[in-house]
Amino acid sequence: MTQALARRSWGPSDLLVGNASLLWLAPGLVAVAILFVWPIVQLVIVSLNVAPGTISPYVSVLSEPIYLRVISNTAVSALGTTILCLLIGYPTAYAIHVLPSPWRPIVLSAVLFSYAVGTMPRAFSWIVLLGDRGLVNQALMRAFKFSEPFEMLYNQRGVLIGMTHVMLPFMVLTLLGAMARVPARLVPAARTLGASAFRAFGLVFLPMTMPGVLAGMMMTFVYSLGFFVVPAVLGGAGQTTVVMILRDLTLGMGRWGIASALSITVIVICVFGAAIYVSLTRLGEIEEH
Amino acid sequence: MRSSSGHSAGGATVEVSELGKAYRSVVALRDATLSIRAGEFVSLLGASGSGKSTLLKLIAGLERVTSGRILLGGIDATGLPSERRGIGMVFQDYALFPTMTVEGNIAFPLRTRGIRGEDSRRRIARVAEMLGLEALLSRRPSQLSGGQQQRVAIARAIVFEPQILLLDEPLSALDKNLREQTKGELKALHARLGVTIVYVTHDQSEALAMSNRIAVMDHGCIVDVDTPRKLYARPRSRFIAQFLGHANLLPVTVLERSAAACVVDSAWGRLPIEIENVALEPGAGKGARGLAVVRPEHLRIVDATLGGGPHCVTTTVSQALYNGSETIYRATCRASGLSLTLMDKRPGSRSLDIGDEVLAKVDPAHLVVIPDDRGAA
Amino acid sequence: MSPGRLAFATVTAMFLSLVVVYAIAPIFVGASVSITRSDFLAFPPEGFSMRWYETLWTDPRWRRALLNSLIIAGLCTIIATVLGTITAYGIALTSIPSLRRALVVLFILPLAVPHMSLALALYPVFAKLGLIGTHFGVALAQALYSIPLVVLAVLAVIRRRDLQLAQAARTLGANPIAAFHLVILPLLTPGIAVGGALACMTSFDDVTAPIFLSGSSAGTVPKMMLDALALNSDPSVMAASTIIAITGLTLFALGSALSGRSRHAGSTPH
Repeated sequence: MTQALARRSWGPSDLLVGNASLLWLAPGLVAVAILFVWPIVQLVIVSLNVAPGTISPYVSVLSEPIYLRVISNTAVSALGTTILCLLIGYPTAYAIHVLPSPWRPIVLSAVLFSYAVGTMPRAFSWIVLLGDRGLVNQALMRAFKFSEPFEMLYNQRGVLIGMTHVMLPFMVLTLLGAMARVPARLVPAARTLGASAFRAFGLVFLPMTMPGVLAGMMMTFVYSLGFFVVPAVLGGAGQTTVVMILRDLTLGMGRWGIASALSITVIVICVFGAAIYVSLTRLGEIEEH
Repeated sequence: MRSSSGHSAGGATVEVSELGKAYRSVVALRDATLSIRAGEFVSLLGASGSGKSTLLKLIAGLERVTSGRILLGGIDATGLPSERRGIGMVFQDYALFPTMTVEGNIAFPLRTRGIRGEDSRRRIARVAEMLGLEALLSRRPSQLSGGQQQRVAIARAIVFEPQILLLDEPLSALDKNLREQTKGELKALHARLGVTIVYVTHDQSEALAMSNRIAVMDHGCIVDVDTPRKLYARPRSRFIAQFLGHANLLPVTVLERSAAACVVDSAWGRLPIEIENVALEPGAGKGARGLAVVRPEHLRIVDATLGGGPHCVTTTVSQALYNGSETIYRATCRASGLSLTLMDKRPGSRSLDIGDEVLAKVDPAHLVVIPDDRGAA
Repeated sequence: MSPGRLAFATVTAMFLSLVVVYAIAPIFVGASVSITRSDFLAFPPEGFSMRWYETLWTDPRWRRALLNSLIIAGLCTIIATVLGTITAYGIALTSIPSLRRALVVLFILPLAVPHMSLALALYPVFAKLGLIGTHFGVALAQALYSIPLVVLAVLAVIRRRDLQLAQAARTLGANPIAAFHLVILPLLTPGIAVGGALACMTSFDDVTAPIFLSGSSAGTVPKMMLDALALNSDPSVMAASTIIAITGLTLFALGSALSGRSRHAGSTPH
């Protein structure tokens, strides 16, 4: 009943050259190469390709007023969203972190609910709410006796309201993660050392959440730069963002050089921000047990 | 290449030749050479970091060799992946598959070999009976105690009748009584199956109790390989002497040395040493320094008032540790200031107090002289 | 409670209530508009009618968009889940920490880049490959945005101990693929479920890939919604919007439920 050692039949193990993980990473690497690396490299090439007698797309992008306006629109919206998300998000996250039931599950569920329904439903729902005869204006006019509706649609206000709404769950969850990493005993320890509740919070808790705050702000800003749906649906002409003009530039006007230059610029900023985010939050690490 | 028959009825030979393993800059195993006979039970004994687990993983095929060769049953297995080496392995934390029942776990290696149905059930039943698992077959690993999980791990590793069984510190998670019991069971299992066993442990009592031979390892090297009795009675280096059991190490100087006899000078005066017990360099003659290994059980405790005769020194007891069947004493030698470990196993003997004076009488027939490497790295 | 603390508690309660309302009210408002009988996007809705949901099915353009969305979401989920899971496993198996971190960054990267830029970049490549206007093309682009989510979800549930179990399986005669399939995969199902739900929702909600890559034949519901907005806003967009919202909530609930099942109940000896 003994069995021969080392049966000689050929098997999948023979495909393994070097590190075992290569077998599993190969399909993903191929996909990333074909779908991500190669197309972006092509974009870079197109954006750098200068026909004789014309100027580089990057120069156009950074000098022509129309593009500068679009870039500044994008940056303003992103910045505004980030600040609003932080102002609303930090207290919300803190409340979830410290408050007991029933507040904690209610607020957390509301935040997760908002994330779960997706971007399209949220953007479109705001159209109904923010119009001149929308719900918000109806309430405001009744409450504050305005004679004219408060314009919140097709302008910057609408875009900020919508974008903050969409990005808020993300900011809250990032901040929540950072807060969870603060050792639970630190604030009580500070209290026993004589600090008031406010000082304990300000001097101990707040600074320890700073990396998370920075990470959240970074990622919110970067993500907001690339927003399409909300500005497209809730914004007016003055809120046109970079990604909104990409389709018309390419499929409409065939100006691939400009479109590529714009895209690459945004991509570079985003990648940079993401790298900082990953290092600040230690994303993707593997636990022991 | 046709292999010479490296198999006996139950086990295969394991040969490791100048095996080395380095992880980037750290060398975990250096030039390991070891030849294990078919059906032999060999322990790899060492402290953590000694390289014993690394050697086992290389034999198992779980790590790739940096240099050297491995032959299993005479066949070069150095490049073979783990699943084709025909070995069974029991891991330190058992590594039972949590999503499968006990039966599912034991059946796993049969499944991967295409053995199913009635044949599979028969083999599982046999192994379950051998290890007392019949009542546990439908349970999940999380519902078992540590000792039960260990037996399932063993059952899983032997159900497909491998010719080589590797065990990585399988008893370390068990409590003391269970460990003692399991040592006997493992020895009986080895006798019954006749399989070649390579057993990794840091516990010398496990190695001494169960092995045919022990390979003592230190800092990535195999320091010595021999039977338990020889390693214990005639350690060839300070490391081995201190690793296996208690050892008193006493500086001695060689007075005479020939091919037939050796005499050294020590705290007990002139002592004749049997020539087989001298592990010094051939060139180390008169005047050479060494260490005499004196095991506590070879030092007789003699009442100071009785006088001892030759080979006695006066000592003062400084510590007493009662251990049930024996008492271990530390005593300081009055003349030389040396600290000795003494053992009193006599039933009903008077227990000594701290400060008592006793004579320690040595029996030169059991002394071993080894090189003094205290000055060396 | 002191007056100061009472004031603080009241302010906090008001603030949190506002946040909760801000977070969830819009969806309900939008849903209520979808059941109006009138032809206008107005709140409060006039009357009750399911006709706008019927329109989604009876209007051939909406129906085709709905079917396309379903097919593409299915394709995207399968592609992203399979590739994401094996990639996460490969990352976990990588023994050199710096290489592992670099791989994580590489595979997370598509998440950081705006979807529009990615879809734009894919256009010329897909045009050359003839993938414009195909379900597979749109699904592939959306898988690009989704794979990072699956990788993160699966990495979150992999434990170092699982890799040791795979090693044990190898010594028991299983080749690497069998070890993964029989031992590792069952342990990863919570992560795979979450990842799959995320991939499915990303696809269903996405408008950026269809804008560039759907041509005239593979338009999805979000794309229809965008086009409808420009042409004529009747409440059918809100019906579509509500369908997407309900799908998202369902997927989220499913993912949470499947991942809540306890991972290997007690795999360590006690």
